[in-house]
Amino acid sequence: MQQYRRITAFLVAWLLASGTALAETRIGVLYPESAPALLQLYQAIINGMSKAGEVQVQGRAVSERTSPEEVIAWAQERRNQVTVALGDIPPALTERLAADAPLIYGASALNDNARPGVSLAASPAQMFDRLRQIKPEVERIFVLYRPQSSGWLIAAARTAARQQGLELAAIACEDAQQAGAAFTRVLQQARPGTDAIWLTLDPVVPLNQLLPVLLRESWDKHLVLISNNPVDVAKGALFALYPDYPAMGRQLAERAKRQAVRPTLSGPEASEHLRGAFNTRTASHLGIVPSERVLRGFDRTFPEEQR
Amino acid sequence: MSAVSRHLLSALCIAPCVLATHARADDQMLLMLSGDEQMVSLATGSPQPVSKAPAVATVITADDIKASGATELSEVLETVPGLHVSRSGNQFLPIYSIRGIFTRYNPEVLVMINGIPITNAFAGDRGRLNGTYPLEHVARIEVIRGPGSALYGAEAVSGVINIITKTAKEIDGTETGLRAGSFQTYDGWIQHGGKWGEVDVAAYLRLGHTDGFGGTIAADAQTRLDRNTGTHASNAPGQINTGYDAIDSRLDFSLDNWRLRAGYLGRPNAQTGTGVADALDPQAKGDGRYTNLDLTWHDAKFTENWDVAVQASYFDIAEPVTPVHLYPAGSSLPRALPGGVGSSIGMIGQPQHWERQHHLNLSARYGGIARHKLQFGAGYNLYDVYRVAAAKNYTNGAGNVPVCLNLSCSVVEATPANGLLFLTPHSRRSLYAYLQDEWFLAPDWYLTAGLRHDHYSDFGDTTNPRVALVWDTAYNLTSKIMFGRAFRAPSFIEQYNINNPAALGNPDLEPETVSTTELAFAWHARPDLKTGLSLFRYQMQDVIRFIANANGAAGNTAQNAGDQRGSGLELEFSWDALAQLRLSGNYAYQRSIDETSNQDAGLAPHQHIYLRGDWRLAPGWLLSGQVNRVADRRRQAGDDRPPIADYTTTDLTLRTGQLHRDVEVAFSVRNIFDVDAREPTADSSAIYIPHDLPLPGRTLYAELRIHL
Repeated sequence: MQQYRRITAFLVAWLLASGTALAETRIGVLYPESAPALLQLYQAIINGMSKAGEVQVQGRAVSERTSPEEVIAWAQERRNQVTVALGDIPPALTERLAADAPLIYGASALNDNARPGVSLAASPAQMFDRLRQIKPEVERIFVLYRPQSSGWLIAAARTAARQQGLELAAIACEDAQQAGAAFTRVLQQARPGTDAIWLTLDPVVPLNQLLPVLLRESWDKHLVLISNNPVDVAKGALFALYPDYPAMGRQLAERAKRQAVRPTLSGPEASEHLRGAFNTRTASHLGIVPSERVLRGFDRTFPEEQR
Repeated sequence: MSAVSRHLLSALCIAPCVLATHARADDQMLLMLSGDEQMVSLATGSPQPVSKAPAVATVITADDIKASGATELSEVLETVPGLHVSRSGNQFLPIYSIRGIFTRYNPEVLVMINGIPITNAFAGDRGRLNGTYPLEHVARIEVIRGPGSALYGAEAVSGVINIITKTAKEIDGTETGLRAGSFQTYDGWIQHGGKWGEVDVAAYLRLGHTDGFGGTIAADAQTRLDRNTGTHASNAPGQINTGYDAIDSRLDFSLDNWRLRAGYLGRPNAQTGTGVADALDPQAKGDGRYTNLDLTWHDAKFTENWDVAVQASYFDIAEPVTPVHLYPAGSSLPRALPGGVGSSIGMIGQPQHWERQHHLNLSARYGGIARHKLQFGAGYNLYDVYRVAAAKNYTNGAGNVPVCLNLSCSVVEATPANGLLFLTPHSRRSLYAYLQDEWFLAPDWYLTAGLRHDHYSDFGDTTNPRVALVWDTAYNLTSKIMFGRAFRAPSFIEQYNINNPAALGNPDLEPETVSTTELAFAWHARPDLKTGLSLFRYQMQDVIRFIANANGAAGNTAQNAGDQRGSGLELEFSWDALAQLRLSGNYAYQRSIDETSNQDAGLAPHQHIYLRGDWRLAPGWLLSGQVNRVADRRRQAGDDRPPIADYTTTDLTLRTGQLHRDVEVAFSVRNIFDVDAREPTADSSAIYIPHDLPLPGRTLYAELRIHL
């Protein structure tokens, strides 16, 4: 009798354990072998993914020496239901994986309308909401984009702008020369105090070259520059929202779970869990006196020294 | 074509294949968007200081330090515009001379570790047996030129140096290192940053030894005596004794709003430089021990508008020494008593002291008033020189000539009763309060005004204001005009020295003060070129000096007897000339007048030039070169020795982390051309050591760091 009870208890425990396992989505994460600073970031994202409910997450670093066969063997051994590719993973390593299980992407700008995953691009709705809080006088937002890269983001931005009562002037460009010419027109027609320029992660805008001119012209014309990048804020943009990596990991895991049951889901989504950087010097120039509550909504303020 | 369009197109023209070049690689983008402080600093150039008030400031990061090849604090500070590190013969201690203010004990500079002063009340310096501070565990060093007493209190006269140590996150793992170099110099250290349960822990331990660089001085105080008395006792020509052992450790625990830190700096077997009385003494050794502990509670979101911090700290200083030969055996001093012995023994002393300090500080920031940011602070300090010990074989006879204490000229323990102690235990308490308001006057205009009042139990009260007007003149230009008044408290030596006619204390001393006006510009001329210009003018009053007694009695007494004025400028730049090459440098000019003599105050360089190049030869390889020129130093009034020679030193450091994944290797050569660089002797040392103090010649080291 006692033995019978033991067997029953074992079977119940086994069933419970396997039931839990069956309810969990097995996610395999590929990330590039990189310098320690980068590895920490990938690890933060993977840790974030693990904290999402009902997932089993396992990461695997890959390098130039890793063969597609090794990756496939790893995925099959783990019975991955979804694969997540973080950062710069050679397509040769992922192409064959995609045939067996859904493949999504993360830790990248995802400048491709057809690429499923969570982009480093910040949610336009949150960008515009924050802009309205800080500078309610803004009526119009200019943004330059390449339709094939950021069409998905601009579509979301149009909806967000409409909801906020903002006018979104989205200008399509195919290359850097067109972007330069478009910015020339934007700066000529921009209205001081009520126009903003939104800098996205779309590579069609060569920011390394254009940012100094944009900063100077925006300063002189009292235009608001907002960005996806805290470094731009350190240089003089008013504010930036950028991903909180562990939270972005959770969002990526949720997306993976959805992708596992609906493999036809396509396209990127913007990061919804964001950190913020704010430039008090630029704010002062624009006549903005941020309240303590607004300032505390940002994780970093620039310039770092007190004025 | 409009100006804007010309600018935009020319911006594009200087970079062909723009799209390809600026498609941000995922990795780089991931790093940049991490908001990591280091990453932002790398992308935007040099980081800004975490200064609590407008100031002219320099920040040196851990990466800067490693690249420069510096292994201790003085080598880093020499690179700061307007700051020159000179030397005092006694212990070969560093003198941080900022903007021409140069004194032997150097109490006009406030040095802090993690925002807590390490000033010793005894002499107003950072310890009589501690001339070096290691750098492996330093995250950044912030140097503010100009007055800082309105926030930081005493000693922030010519500048403030704040050493900020690495947190657990900044160390991130375990690093161990070894360094070996010239003059039998060895260092080994280990540091760890990680978690202990929920607690962040940073720990550091370093052991070191050096024989000292052994520069030679041709003559010392005994040489002069020998000349007058026909003796041959001097150890000069001989080597300056700069050897020491080092034990340094730090612990840092933090959990939520709490932080507990402890530090120990030990300098056993510290030699005496040119000797306590400027006579070489190869045998004497000190054992400096400096221990600090602080507990901080900080809640940045105490309430919606309040950021509050409370800090209690303790600092213990012990400076025991072996018996010191003020004059060596064979000297004519002290003079033998009739029928006694004398000259075979030499003049022996053993001055020692122990000090402890308690500090309690409350600070708060309030952001609840539109257009204003308020800072408040109040605190209490106790400085307690609780034990003084001395032994000696001499006393002052007629005409202040040292004579033996007894027939055998043996050493006698000093006691208050026998009148041989040089100082009796004293303590001092101070209370202070400060207020600062940063007022957003109008777009682009800020006015910061602050006031601090200090009450000292011995010399009374002092109030010091600071006002700064900041104008964001253009998107790439900021202009500031600043005024501040600062003070330094008289040291216990200056107040309470007894039984030493050459330097008697004066309990009636007032604090030294300085009033400084500054005009500063920060101009980012191009995205890759940052420049800064600061102009200053200062007036020091009530400078404390030991001067001849006015009542006809032989000897000197500390007096508020000097005034000094000065003016000058500092120009600095940092230029990313190529993606792999950063050039930076600074030029400082100052002229200071001693108003007693109405002549140049002397000693500090009128001109100081520093140039540096950091070249990333290949991924993971960095070659750093620096050139330092110290020029145009005048003698003090009344010192008719030949002018002090200018010098230019050149250093090279090669560092790589490419040889093995977790290993970093560096080779450094300092003063590569073996230039004869010298720092001036001053005051009485000018007479005794006439050929000034040599600095180290060519110095090499190799360093290995392993990240475990």
